[in-house]
Amino acid sequence: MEDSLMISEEDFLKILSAVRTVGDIDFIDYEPYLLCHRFERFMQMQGYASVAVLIDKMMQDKNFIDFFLYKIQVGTTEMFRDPQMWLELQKNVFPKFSGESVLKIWLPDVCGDDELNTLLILLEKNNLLVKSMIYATSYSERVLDDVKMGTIEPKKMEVSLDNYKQFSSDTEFFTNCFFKSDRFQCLSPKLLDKVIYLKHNVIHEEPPDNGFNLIIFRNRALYYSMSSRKTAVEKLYRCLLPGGYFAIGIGETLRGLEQNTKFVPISKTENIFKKP
Amino acid sequence: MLNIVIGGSAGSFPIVTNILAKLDKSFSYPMFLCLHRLKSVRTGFVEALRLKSSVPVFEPHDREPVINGHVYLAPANYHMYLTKGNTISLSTEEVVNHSRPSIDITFGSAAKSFGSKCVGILLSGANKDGAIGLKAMKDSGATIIVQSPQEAQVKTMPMAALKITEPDFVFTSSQIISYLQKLKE
Repeated sequence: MEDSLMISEEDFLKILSAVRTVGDIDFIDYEPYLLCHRFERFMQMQGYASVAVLIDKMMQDKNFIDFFLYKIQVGTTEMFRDPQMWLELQKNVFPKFSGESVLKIWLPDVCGDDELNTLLILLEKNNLLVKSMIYATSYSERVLDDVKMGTIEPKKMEVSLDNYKQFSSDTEFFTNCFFKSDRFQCLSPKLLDKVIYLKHNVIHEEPPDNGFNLIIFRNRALYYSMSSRKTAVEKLYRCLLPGGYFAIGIGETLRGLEQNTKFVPISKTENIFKKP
Repeated sequence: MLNIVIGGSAGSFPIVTNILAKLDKSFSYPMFLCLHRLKSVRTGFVEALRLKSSVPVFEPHDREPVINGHVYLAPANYHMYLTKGNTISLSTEEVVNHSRPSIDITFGSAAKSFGSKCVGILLSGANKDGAIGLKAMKDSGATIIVQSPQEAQVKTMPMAALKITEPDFVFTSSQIISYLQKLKE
């Protein structure tokens, strides 16, 4: 943060209007406070002195809006974030999948590859990957292109390995899931081959499939408006199998969603739930 | 209604525990703590703060409604935003000043949401996080206090703030406590 830059409410509304006009996207689905901060951060990174400069760019360059939408998204932080949650999943959820012939898993609104990579490694470690069908969906083609690459920056690899060490002492297994390409580490194609990538808007579209055994939706709804969060979670609930599992971030709650979802907590600290 | 927002890092923990211990049980303002902490250690911090605190201390969930007289500690590995709607929002955005939670983020959101109805306090710490946010609070009309660098266990953080803004007060920890105690009057 170079200096404080604060967008006024009036300017915020001007940006929303420009995005609606140029990009045909209505940000009404998103939490305005965090969205405004994303705009401020974008302007700082690009060195724009005023909102007028930003809006002018949107109006003059038709390719700019894609770049803008891509840059304001909040990515994921690291692989094996909250190692205890992944341990809980391995210990108390995965054994329940032993009798299934096919495992359907969905990561809606992916915004980076960390959660997906973690899941793939974990499934492989538990010999479940072979029978898994994993959907990774995002409303952004650019995000999906990034995720498909499976490339990890050295710094992120370091942090992720630290997380993994809290999860398991078998670090060789973790490192063997990657190969080196230039300065990056890349997830093995053998793992990535199990993923179906789809452009999909979890708030506005129907789920890409039904009968999911597990849906991982951690820290994505933080950026949604309350009503969009409700819409999304209720949709996810409906497309889970009875007995299917649902994970949200440890800083999130399902408070206020009890009327149309009857999730039962499996782990209160790690925020893993089961559909009865 | 005033909102009290405190940021700190290395060397701030004993001061914060002392503040919480010496607040009156009837302290009626919400207080928000953004303290640098290890992302991998999720438990223990809030429990340690509760030990001697005379007021309730919580780690909020996303969209947690704020209750007067309660203290909210930014959870590990999340940024904590304070909103106009009297709720707390969490985010997993990029680290700021190598930190998540970042004090600049919490202070910046307080500036935007509370304006002059806020007291910002920056304590001891080993990096410059919080300085820009504290300046934003000052520019929005809040009262800002910096812990005296002479007293701070690590003075980098108070010094960084003093470089870019002029606080209303430069206080020792006992003066900060006394200031907060008088607020209720």
